[in-house]
Amino acid sequence: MRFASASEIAGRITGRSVTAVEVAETFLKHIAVHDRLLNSFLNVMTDQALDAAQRVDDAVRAGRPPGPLAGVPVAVKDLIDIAGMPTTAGAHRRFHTMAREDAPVITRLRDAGAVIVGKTGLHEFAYGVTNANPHAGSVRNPWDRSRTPGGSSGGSAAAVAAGFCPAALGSDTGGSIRIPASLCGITGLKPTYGTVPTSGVVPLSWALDHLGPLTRTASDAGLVFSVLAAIPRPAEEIGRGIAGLRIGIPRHFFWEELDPEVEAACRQAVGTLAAQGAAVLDVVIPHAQDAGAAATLIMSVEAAAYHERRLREHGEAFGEDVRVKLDRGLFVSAVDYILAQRARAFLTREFIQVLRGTDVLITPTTIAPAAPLEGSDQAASSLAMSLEYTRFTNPFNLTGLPVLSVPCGFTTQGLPIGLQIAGRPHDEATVLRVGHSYQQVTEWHLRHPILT
Amino acid sequence: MTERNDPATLTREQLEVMARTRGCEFSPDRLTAVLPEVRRLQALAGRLRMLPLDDLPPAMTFTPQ
Repeated sequence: MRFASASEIAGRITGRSVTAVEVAETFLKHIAVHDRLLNSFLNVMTDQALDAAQRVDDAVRAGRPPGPLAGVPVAVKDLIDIAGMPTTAGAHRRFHTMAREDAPVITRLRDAGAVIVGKTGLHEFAYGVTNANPHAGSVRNPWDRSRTPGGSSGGSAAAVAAGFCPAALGSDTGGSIRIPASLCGITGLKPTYGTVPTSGVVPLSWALDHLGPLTRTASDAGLVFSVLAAIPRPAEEIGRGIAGLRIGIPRHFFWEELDPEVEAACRQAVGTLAAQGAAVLDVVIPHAQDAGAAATLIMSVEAAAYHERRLREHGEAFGEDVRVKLDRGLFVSAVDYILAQRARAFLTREFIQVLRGTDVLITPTTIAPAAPLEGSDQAASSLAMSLEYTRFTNPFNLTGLPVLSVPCGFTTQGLPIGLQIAGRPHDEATVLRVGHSYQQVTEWHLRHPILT
Repeated sequence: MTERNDPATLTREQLEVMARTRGCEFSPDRLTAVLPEVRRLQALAGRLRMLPLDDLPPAMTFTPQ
């Protein structure tokens, strides 16, 4: 049960082979026993989860449609508002707020029958990739608890990887769904910019913020995404297979400076897709290496703008790495911010031009597997890791394209490796189709860590 | 208008002037902490200036509602 997919759990509840309350109790007990090892949850909503599960069971018994996520336990990154609950954003308690109403994505999850089990830990204000948090404590990688789970949605990723819930919500501004998904050995989807509403969510950078699901499978990612975006689930499209599909491998930049084991696993994954009938082509995105520069400038300015008053009045309440990142944004000129937005238009056009000749682009998700937690709380180390781990992810925040990360192997030290699949705007169906097809013939996504 | 200086040569004193121009107060320690990142961001902007942007407008739209 603990490592079953969301689809399977919803099916079993709807089919009455198990009740939503039994499912909720199973997962809540697992969280209570084992999350002390990972610190993935900031707030476990035991009573509310059991109440919600009871309502799902009542609906099933009454013959009312319980929704596509009937009884599925879902965790939520703690920068998304849930009515009556504090939203901490992983920050100093001075900055905590009490949510008066659910964010739209929460309403959609509830309407779909999901059972929200709690709020997960994150890098402070989502502005980092280590999830080493001076206020809430670090989240630990379930595969090696001396290592970072990645961030900033590290709590959500760790929770899914550890079997605390089959699905979780994250946010992604520079890679914060895909990086922890990759480092924790699970699946994560950053949808097309603007398809999932971000109101009721603490922003990091309005131009780059995305919300999306972290799940055990690409199929589940499609299911949860369809609920979040309030669109029909592309189930048939996802199951079509990939014979004849064109996979673009963007040489230069995206496949350079890789950890050798990451490179080997990702190249093997491309070979697996080719064996399924996909056509693999080398492509070139001429200025891909400049996308990170534009993304960094935009994020720096917008994050500083959002936090300007907090910085002036309570700067000492920020962790050092986040404070440096926020402070730097205050020094970027308006002209340079506009320059970055112009570069964004230019680079987006370039990426989409390449996607006219291919159906998806495939790259490694990160250049290296999970780093040690020790030292990652130091500002210099945190800043360096942000640069390193967002290298292949933030170009897709800049261009707003839909991207899926799926597990594609493990290092000799047992650390997960992720593969990134990017597509055309609003073509989540093709991206999910490739991920699903890969998961039909591999078992990386079925592995799970043992917590003792 | 003169050419910009190399970002790598930006000094803490120059940064302090920039801060004051923006109405911000930074302690010497805070200036020291942020200086490498400000240099880095200026270098990133320099890279973007090399792109063939021509007359391309920024990727920002406004729809009155």
